[in-house]
Amino acid sequence: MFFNFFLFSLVAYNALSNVAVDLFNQFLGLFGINNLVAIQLGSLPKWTQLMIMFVIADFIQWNVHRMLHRVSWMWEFHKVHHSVEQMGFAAHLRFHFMETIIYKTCQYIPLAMLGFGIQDFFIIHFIALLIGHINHANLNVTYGPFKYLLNNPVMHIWHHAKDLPSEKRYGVNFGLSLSIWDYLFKTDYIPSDGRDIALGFEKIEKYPTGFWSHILAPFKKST
Amino acid sequence: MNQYWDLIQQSYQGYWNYLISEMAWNHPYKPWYENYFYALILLSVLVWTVEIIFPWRRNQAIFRKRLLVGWILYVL
Repeated sequence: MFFNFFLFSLVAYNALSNVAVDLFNQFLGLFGINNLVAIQLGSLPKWTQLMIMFVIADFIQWNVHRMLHRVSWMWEFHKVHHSVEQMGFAAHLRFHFMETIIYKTCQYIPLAMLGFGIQDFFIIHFIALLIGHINHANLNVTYGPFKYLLNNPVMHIWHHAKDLPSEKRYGVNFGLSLSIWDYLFKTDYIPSDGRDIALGFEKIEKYPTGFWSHILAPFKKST
Repeated sequence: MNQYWDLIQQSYQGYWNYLISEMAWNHPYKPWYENYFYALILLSVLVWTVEIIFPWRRNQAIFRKRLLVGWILYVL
């Protein structure tokens, strides 16, 4: 919450992205370009801007999330999130700080370059937090037909499944707020009621349990 | 190079003030309800309450397995 949510998200990111965006704009300026996108996003109504921003950010995150599962050194960091064996709201914000760095780098800098500032994020950010909290909670919620649009705990528990068929070994149900990407790109997987499935990953029994060992484990594994 | 140094310094300074104003719940530049810090705590308490009242798995303890690591990471 303090580092991942506040200190990094806005401190380090703020400084880094201010510099990156400035450099980028100067680079574009060399060619006499002052806006990257054809549509002037800033001229659209505020709610439209927020919706576009939400959808683009979620799609970027979905791709980053797939990468965290696919690239082996990144998976070592993402395992900290997957070491939950019983789902609950706090699992949502349980992740290694390196994930924050990977996500924010991949997400905010491109968004800032498209012309989105960090103002007026409150509602968007809060909706994402609400959906994310519910996804990890011990709740039987699917939102009816909206399950094809919104991620939900019944779908997300399969993302945390310990045992998956070998052709799905790089993971399933990568959605964060939106589940639509998984349905569009065929990474959805809800074979049965997941209420009582085992969670975690292979050999989780041997994964350390202490706080510092969670923080240090990925560095040991990846070297 | 100096302009980037200044930009970095301003970003950190600005953010430090932002964090303090969030925790003190004192941010005249935006409405009182747009406080991330307390909104997140409220959201977590609400979702946890609903989980306790309407649990999916009934045999799961309120204080789950590996909870300590989860909560330390939550606070971080």
